[in-house]
Amino acid sequence: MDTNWLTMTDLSSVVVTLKLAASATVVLMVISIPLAWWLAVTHSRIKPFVEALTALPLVLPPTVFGFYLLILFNPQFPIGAFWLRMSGDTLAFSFSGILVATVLHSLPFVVQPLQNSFENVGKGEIEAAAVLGAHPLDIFASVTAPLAKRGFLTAAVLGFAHSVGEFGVILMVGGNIPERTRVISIDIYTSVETLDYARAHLLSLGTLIFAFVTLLTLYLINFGRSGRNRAF
Amino acid sequence: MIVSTIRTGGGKIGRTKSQSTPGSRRHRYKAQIILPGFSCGLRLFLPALLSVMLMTASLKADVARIAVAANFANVIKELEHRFENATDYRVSIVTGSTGKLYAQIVNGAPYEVFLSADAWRPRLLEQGAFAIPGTRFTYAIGQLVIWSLQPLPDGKDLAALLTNATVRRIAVPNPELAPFGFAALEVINHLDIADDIAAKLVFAENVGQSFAFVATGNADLGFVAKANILFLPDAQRGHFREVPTDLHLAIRQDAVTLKSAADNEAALAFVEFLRSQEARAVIARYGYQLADND
Repeated sequence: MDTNWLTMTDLSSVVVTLKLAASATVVLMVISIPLAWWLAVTHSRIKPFVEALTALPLVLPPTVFGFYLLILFNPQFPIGAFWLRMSGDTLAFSFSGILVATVLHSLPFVVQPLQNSFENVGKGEIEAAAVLGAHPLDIFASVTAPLAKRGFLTAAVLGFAHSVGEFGVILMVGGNIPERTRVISIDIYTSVETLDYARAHLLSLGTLIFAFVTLLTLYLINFGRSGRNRAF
Repeated sequence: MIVSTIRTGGGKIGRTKSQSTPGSRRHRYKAQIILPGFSCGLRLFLPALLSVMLMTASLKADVARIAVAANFANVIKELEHRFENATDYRVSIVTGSTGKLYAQIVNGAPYEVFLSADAWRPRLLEQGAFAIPGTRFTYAIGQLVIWSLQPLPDGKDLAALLTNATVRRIAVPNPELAPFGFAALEVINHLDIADDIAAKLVFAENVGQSFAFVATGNADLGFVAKANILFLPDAQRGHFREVPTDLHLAIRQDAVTLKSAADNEAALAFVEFLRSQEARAVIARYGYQLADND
C-alpha cells in the first residue's frame, strides 16, 4: 500500500464522481418520471404521504440516511443478503452502494421539478386529447412530455449536480476506497484533514466552477424563454 | 445591542400606559393587546438569553475543552466522570481522528488539551508553538486488535486470517489520520500481504468508524483499539485477536497542553488528574500499557 496516493495528479475521485453522477441521473429519471407523473395527476388520498416521503431528503440529516443504509446493507439482513447473493459483493463500500445512497438522497431534486412541470401543463390540452380518444400513455408521450421538456432538463441537471455534491451519506457508507467510492467531496474532506490544502484548493475550485457553470446554464436557458412551463 | 432592543420594547409599553391612567387594570390589558406577540416573547426571551450568556462566560474558566483521539473515546468518558466528581471543574470532550483534531488545532480550534493517539503530532504542536513546551507525556500505549462478529479460526497466523477467502471486507482506520490505521498498515506490510488484500480494505475516518463498520456487519474484520472491545457487554463482544506488538511500532499516545490552557485551571487540573494513579488504573483496565515517563 502506498500511503502517498494523494498526489496532485491523482484525479480518480473526479472520474468516480462523474460516473456516479451520470449513473444516478439515469436511475433518478427512470424512477422519477412515472412517480412525478402519478403525483401530478392523482387524486389518491395517499398522495400527501408519497410527497412527504419523497421530500424527506430535503430535511433529514445525511447521517440519518447513512446510519439506516449501513443497517440495511448489512449482509446478515434481507436486503444486504439479497444483494450479496445476486452480485457477490456487499452493498456497503461498493459503487452500487453509494449509487443507491445518492439516488435516494437526490430524489426530491428530480421529482419536484418534474411534478411541477407536469402540473403546469394545461388541463385543456390533456382533456382535448382524452376526448379525441388518446390513451393516457399516448397523452403523456405526445402532449405532456413535449410541453414539459424544460422540466425534464431542470430535473436532470439538478439530479446530476446534487449527485456531484453528495457527501454525508457517502462518508458513512462509502469506505473511502480510491477508484471505487472516493468521490470529490470525500477527497476534499480528507485533503483538508491531512492539511493538503493545495489538493483541497484544486478540487474545491474545480467543483465550484462546475456547479456555477451548470446552474448558470440552466438559468440562462430558462431566462431565454418565458411562459407557464418555468420549473423554478 | 441586546440591551437597546429590550429598552425599545419597554419604551412601547411605557408610552401606551402613559396615554391612559397609570396602573389601571383595563389599560394594562389594552397595552398587552397593542403590543405584538413577538415583542412580548422578546421581552422575556432576551433577558433570559443574556443571563445564559453571562453564566456561560463565568463558567468558561472552569471548563476545559479536551480534544481526544477516537480510540480513547470511551475511556475519557469514565475519566471525565471521575474528574468531575472529585473536583468542581468541568470538561467538555471532542473526539475525532488524531489527524483531524491536529488539523483543527493548527487552525485555531479552542481546545486546551490534546490527547493524541501518536507522539508525532503532539511534538509538532510543541515545535510549532501551539502547545506549552515541556507538557508532553505518554498517557497510554495503544493495543491494536483485529475484531470480528464471527468466530475467528484457531491459530496465531494473522496473514492466514486476513487473506482468508471468506473475509470480504477489512476495515482499516485511515492511516493518514489515525495512528491505529497506520499501525495496521505496518502490520499488513510486515506480513507481506498488502497486494493480496488491497481489494478488501475499506478505510474508516477513525477507529470509531472502523468499529462501526464491523458492528453493523458490513465489514468482516476490522482493525480497532482493544479499548473499543473491552467496553462492550460480553454478549456483543464478538471475537478479537491482539496484534503482536512486534509487527508495528508501539502506538505511543501522547497528551499535550495547548497554549490557551495557560490560565485555565480546569485544564491544568485535568492534566494532573490524567497523570494520577487513579486515572492510570482506569487506562490500564481498558487494555492500554502505561509508560513510566513521570
